[in-house]
Amino acid sequence: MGVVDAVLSKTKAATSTNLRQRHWIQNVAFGVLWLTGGVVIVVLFFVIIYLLLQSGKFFVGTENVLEAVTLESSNEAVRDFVAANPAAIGYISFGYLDGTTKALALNQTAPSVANIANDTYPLARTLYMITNGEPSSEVQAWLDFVRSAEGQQLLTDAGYIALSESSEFQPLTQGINSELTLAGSTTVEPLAEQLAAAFARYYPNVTITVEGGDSTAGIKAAGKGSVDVGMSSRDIREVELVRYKELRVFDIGYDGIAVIVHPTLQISSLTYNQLRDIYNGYIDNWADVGGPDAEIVVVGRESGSGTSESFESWVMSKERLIQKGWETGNATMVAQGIGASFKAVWRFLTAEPLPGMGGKGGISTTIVTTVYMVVLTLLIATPLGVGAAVYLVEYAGEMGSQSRWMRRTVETIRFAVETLAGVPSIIFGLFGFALFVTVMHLGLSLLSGALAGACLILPVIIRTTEEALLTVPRAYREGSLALGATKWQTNWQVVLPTAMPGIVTGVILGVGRIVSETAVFYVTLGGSIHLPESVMDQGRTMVLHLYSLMMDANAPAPAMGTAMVLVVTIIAINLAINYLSTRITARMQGKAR
Amino acid sequence: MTAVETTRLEVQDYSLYYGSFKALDRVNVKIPSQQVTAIIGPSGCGKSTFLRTFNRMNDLIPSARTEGKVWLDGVDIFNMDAVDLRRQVGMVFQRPNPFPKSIFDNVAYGPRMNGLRDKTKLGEIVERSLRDAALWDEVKDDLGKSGLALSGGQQQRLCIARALAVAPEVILMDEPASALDPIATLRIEELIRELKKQYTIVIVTHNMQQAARVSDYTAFFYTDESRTGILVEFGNTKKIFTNPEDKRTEDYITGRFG
Repeated sequence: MGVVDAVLSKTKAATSTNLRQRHWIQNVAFGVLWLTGGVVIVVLFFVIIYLLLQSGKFFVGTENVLEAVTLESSNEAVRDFVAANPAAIGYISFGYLDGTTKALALNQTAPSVANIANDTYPLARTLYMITNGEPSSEVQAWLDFVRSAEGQQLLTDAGYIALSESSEFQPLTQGINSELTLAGSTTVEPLAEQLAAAFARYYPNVTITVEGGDSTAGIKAAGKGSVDVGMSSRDIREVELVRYKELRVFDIGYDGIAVIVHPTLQISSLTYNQLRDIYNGYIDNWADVGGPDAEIVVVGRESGSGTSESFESWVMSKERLIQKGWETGNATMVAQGIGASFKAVWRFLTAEPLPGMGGKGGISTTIVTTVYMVVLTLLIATPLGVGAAVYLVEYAGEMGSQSRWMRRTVETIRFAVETLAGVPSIIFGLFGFALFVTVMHLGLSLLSGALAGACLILPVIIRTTEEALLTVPRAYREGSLALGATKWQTNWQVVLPTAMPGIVTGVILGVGRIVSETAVFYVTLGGSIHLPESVMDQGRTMVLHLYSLMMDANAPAPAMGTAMVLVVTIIAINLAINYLSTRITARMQGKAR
Repeated sequence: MTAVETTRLEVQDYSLYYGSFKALDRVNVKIPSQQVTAIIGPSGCGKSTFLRTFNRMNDLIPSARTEGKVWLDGVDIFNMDAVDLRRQVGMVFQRPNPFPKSIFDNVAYGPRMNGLRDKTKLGEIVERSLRDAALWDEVKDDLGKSGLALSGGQQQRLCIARALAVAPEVILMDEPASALDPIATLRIEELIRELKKQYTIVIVTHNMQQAARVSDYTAFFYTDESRTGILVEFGNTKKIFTNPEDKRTEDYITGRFG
């Protein structure tokens, strides 16, 4: 008996283990499903956060400088240009201020060394000298001299700002007999010349050659070893430190940047936002900032200039303005920066994209074109799709049971619809290009794009409408027919209204497809950045613009901004689907009116 | 009961096929005007199919085919336009099927489909139909409410009002109370007795007490293993229930099967 008991209890145990195992497997399976859903949501969340941050950077970050700016290649040239032109505005190093131009106050703060020192005038940068590898004793002597009390005094006299600490210069006991070459920033150049003259008093046998160029050129020359010392009026970039691994960087003082105008101009102060808008082209007349009615002549510096880089990173970036304002407790600056950021969003949405490869300008025409495409495509696809679905559900089925030929046709149509729904959209693009653009001679145009887009969303609309029609109870159709309504009346008055939530869902899904479609429009729409004036014009939807910004213009920042607008649009469309279908359903069920 | 009864619907040698299957075999009957005629019989004997003959709802089934003649007031219904026929022969279905529209729109549906656009006239028709269907007092303050928001019994009366609105001569009822509770059923039965003053009513029912309560005439349908329905006996309800001529009728009435 003991054996039987043992066997029985063993079986029992095995059974309960099996059960437990099965529960365990089910739990894991559901857990995995649940997790997958969770992961999807988290991914969507991060996509949105990522886009928000990136586009936020774009809107808060540095703005593009307008293209028509007059470029001069040195501080001196800028100063002389402005001195000769009553309507010009430019920016130069403090060291070049000589009374021939007027330096403007920014936010009512005068450009003075004192104001830089007390952190109220933020347009300042560090000046550097750079060597390749450890400096030789001669170069070291030169650097020591520059950073000595005597050198710093010269620097202060020239209008620059001295380092906070300096020591007495100790000349080397043995003389130096060699040639030193310096090149780079024109901001540092005149200072270097004065320093060289003073240095020569200690070492008469040294010949120092000071050349200009710009900061970028100076860093490059030092890195390559073609000069002994490079001069820079901007911070060394990460890429430069990577490219020239042996660079040694020495700060030699500070410099302010003054915004200058002609002495006769009746303007003494600008806000940061006004200055930014002058440089990105939104303000082009002095009258707009309280001056005389004259077109502003905007003068800038060539792209390698350290002064221009410092100026742009300061004035054109709202982020930096906000940051500085925050650090120094200047609420005006913070407010200006935030206001300008929102203004940048608005401008981005309402300005036309600019031609050229920089990806400059806004996206207004692409938003309008996207709306045009959605409307046009739906005008074509909705009647066709809904009509086809009504035919398939309400008429073909009935006929199909009578004729084999009819049944085959319906089956073929269904198969085609399902297959088309899975065809990659570029195929529709190719088809649209071949048929509408080429054979039908519609050219690259909104019409071609809309026709091709309609082919793309037709299967979606047919399928969803069919599903919706199939859920309409047969009793509704019979009830209507029994009241003496014709089939046509029944379809229009009872069947279609009842199926409306499903049909609306299908149409809005179609809208989503059109808003996010790239491939089809890439080959049929032409891609013009201008506002289309007729359906035969070319155009560019938001997605196409985004694609072009990333792939052609290599401008990821505005691409992020565009992507954000797109994602917000898609989310809005999906919310609209939910809202509309629940509302219509509720009204039909009598829960609301 | 009136002494002289005119015939509203006459059926002669009527057979119905679904494809090759014969669902009804040579039915002959005369349905009297302004009376309630009940059609009873076991499940699957073709009661509903027969009822749907009168407004040609069987046309909707593509494989259905008929033989024989049916006249409405002496006119062959198979020669009429189905839409015209259905305006004269209304129908109430087994399950209440109001449209997902307001009460007003439900009742006004038929007249509107006939082309009536006049708002005052529509209003009059809706009110009269709802009154005739004994629903007016319950819904008069809320005609904009969805028909689906009503209770089952109210929904069925709404469907009756909807049928009345097109002013038919005949109303077909396919087990109109089978989905309702006893109280709602009673109200529908009262309504049927009221309506027969103006309309000829043909009602299919599973419930023999109901047939006995509301009908003046009764047709008993029956089917054997062939599943083909035949009309066994037609006559005065009292006679069918108390003194049937056919053995099968008696067996069914007394509850020996069905």
